[in-house]
Amino acid sequence: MPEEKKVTLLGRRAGELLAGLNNIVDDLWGEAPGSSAPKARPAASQPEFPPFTQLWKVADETVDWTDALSRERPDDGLTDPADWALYHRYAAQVLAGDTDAYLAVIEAMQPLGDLSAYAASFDIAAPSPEALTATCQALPRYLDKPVPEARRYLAGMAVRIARDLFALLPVTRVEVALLQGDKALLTVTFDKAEMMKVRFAFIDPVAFAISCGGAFAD
Amino acid sequence: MEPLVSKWHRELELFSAVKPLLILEGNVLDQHRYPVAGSIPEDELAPLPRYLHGYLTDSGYKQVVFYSNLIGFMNPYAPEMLSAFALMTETSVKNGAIPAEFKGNGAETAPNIIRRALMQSAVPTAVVMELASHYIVTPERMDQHDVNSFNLLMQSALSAATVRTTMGRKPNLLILLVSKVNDLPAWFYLNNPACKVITLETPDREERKRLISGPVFATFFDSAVYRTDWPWYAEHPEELERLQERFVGLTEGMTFTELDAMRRLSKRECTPIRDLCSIVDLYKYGVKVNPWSTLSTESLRTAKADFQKRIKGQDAALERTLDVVKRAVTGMNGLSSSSTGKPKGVLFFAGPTGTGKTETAKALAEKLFGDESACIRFDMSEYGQSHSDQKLMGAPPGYVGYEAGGQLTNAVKKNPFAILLFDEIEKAHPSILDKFLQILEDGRLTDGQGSTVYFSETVIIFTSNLGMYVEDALGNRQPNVTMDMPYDEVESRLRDAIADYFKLELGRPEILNRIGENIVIFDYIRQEAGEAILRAQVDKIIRRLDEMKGIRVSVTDEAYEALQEAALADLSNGGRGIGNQVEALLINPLSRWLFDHDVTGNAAVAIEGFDVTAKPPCVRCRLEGTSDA
Repeated sequence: MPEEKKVTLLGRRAGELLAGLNNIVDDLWGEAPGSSAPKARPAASQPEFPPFTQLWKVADETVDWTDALSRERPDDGLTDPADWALYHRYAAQVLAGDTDAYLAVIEAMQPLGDLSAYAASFDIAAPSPEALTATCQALPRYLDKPVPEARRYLAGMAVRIARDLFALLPVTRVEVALLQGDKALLTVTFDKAEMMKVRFAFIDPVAFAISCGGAFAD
Repeated sequence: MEPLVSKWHRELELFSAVKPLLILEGNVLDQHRYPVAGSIPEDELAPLPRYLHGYLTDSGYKQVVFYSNLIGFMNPYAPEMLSAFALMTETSVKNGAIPAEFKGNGAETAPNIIRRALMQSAVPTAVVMELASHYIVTPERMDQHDVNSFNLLMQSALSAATVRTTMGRKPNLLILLVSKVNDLPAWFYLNNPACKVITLETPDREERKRLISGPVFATFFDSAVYRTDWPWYAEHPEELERLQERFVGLTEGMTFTELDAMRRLSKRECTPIRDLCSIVDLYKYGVKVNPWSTLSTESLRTAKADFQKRIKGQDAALERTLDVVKRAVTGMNGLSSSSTGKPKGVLFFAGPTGTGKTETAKALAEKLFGDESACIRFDMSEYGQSHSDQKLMGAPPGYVGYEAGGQLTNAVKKNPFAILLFDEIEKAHPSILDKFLQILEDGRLTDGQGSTVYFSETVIIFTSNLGMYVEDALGNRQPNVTMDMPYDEVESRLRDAIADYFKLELGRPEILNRIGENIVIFDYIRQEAGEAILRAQVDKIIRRLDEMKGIRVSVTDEAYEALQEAALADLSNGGRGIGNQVEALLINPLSRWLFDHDVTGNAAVAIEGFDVTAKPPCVRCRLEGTSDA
């Protein structure tokens, strides 16, 4: 059996990492009642970054591969021309289901880079044109919480990872595993058609992950 | 692909070289497809101002500015052109625009600035005046300042300079964008040798085809859907062609902006390629599942038998009606024309009164849409006045009843999948027939509130008693058909009379053409059908008495024969006449007898005879198990 190709994401975007760290501090202090500890604030020029308790509510913008196939330049005035050039270059291969092109795009776009403050060692593989699998290491600081909150973190991360990957590539299934060492804390497979029906602002990520067949480790 | 150039773009190319004043009217608020690669990529949709900016700069114009009476002169696409324009016209740019009023003839008004720009011969210049319909209230209500402004514009165009460029000689251009050319004063463009009016239409068939072909086709679909579905269509180009053709047919009359909205809607809804056409329904009606597409062949196969249970003695008419429906269901409708946006079917029911015309329409509604209430009836005798079209389509803004909309347009907006039954069409005012003509031809109407109502999912049925009587030489009404004529003769005489009515009396042969071969003639109710109707009505009364009161009624053979003889004595009033007789001879006397004999429930009653000559008619009954009569 040929070895499965994977992309390991390094979280290269330092600005996003810094913003993420600031939010973690916000989250952590914010959750301690009566705390008078000073709060770190992101610099004004840095982008807004959601706290981890809101992770599943937002996602990257969907890449329009069929538009990218037909146009050399973006016509919306919003997409970065350099990103569009990359999409245009890979559009035909991506729409043909070429998994090597999938991985090349993932490597170039680092879709989970902004999540590196919330988990580590992201690996993404494309076992078929239909599906992606993503694994990452959960961070102990989020696991050392009461079980409901830890589960909320795991499920929120899983939903967010799936949303970002569905936004980037035309796959119909994403399997996400959050690990602690070798142990899988949550494994869940998301179906795009089901995800399309969901209003993420109003869901409980734990219930949603379970409804998608997700299984939490004890 | 070969470049596809629209008619108006060809006219623009042709006349911008020779006429300094161009008026673009019609579909000016829409986006338009840029035909050749230049400042704008080939086949990309662009709003008209951007399109014109691209075209004019590609043609060698060095200065292109846009004017709006609310903002002044501007150029959002190339601000440096505005600065050069300001320098040339000795004006100044403030907040990205050169402010200038439209009214009057002062040095800083727009017409005077335009005059300076058009009369110079150093730089090829084009001024595009946007929303020019709105500079004045109406051409009839212009004050002297308005007149001066247009006068200056006309003089500027008449004396516009021509500039020598590396791409040939170019006249300085003044382009006005208007919804309708008659929003401008007629003297401004009529008999004006410097002026050319160019009409922009909604995209034609070829343009719509281009929008759904080639690389743009992919953009109608979500990436994952396209990746999954495309390989099959790549191997079956004939299916792809069929799908594209159907979409092109369904989108007739739509603007580029609407087509682009459907493209985005399709992508957002993750529509599979095979369901591309369903997006038209979603866009027009807000529904994804079209009841027409869910009709089963089996249901239609049994339709005739189902109809015959309700409508007696009209086999030929039912067959004809179902032919039209089957044609709609199999998608054969509109094959003979370029438009598939027309109504699914058009039927013209004619024939004697009480023969099942309305009942057939209701049965059809139940068969097609599962509910009789999907048959929406309009009694056209209520629409006999000249202003009645406003009742149907809605009054225009400023008129009483404007907010209420039109009865027909509201009904179709609420339920686009319906049978529209226009009863006694000959009683409607002739002006309404023009509206019907538009519905039959285009499948859509714009109501008083400006929204377009689509009739492409409806079946339209007109009923009429036309041809039943004709006038003799003295102007007296004479029966044209009688009960003793066979069906073939009734049909032929009525068809001829209907044709004469539309061609000779109304002088509107085009209406007859639209109805085409869809005139369905209902036969008189003959003896055999009358017997069947009577039997059905009597059985229904007996069944309901049993169900509701527990009174079991039987009729002896002799009594039934007497009833039948009396009820069917005059069939000229059709099924309705039989119903009236049943009410007079059976229902009323039986009710009276039950009341007089204090029979309120749980009893068995035998009807042994009818006295139809009594005033009022009586029944002879006996309570079962007694000798009481």
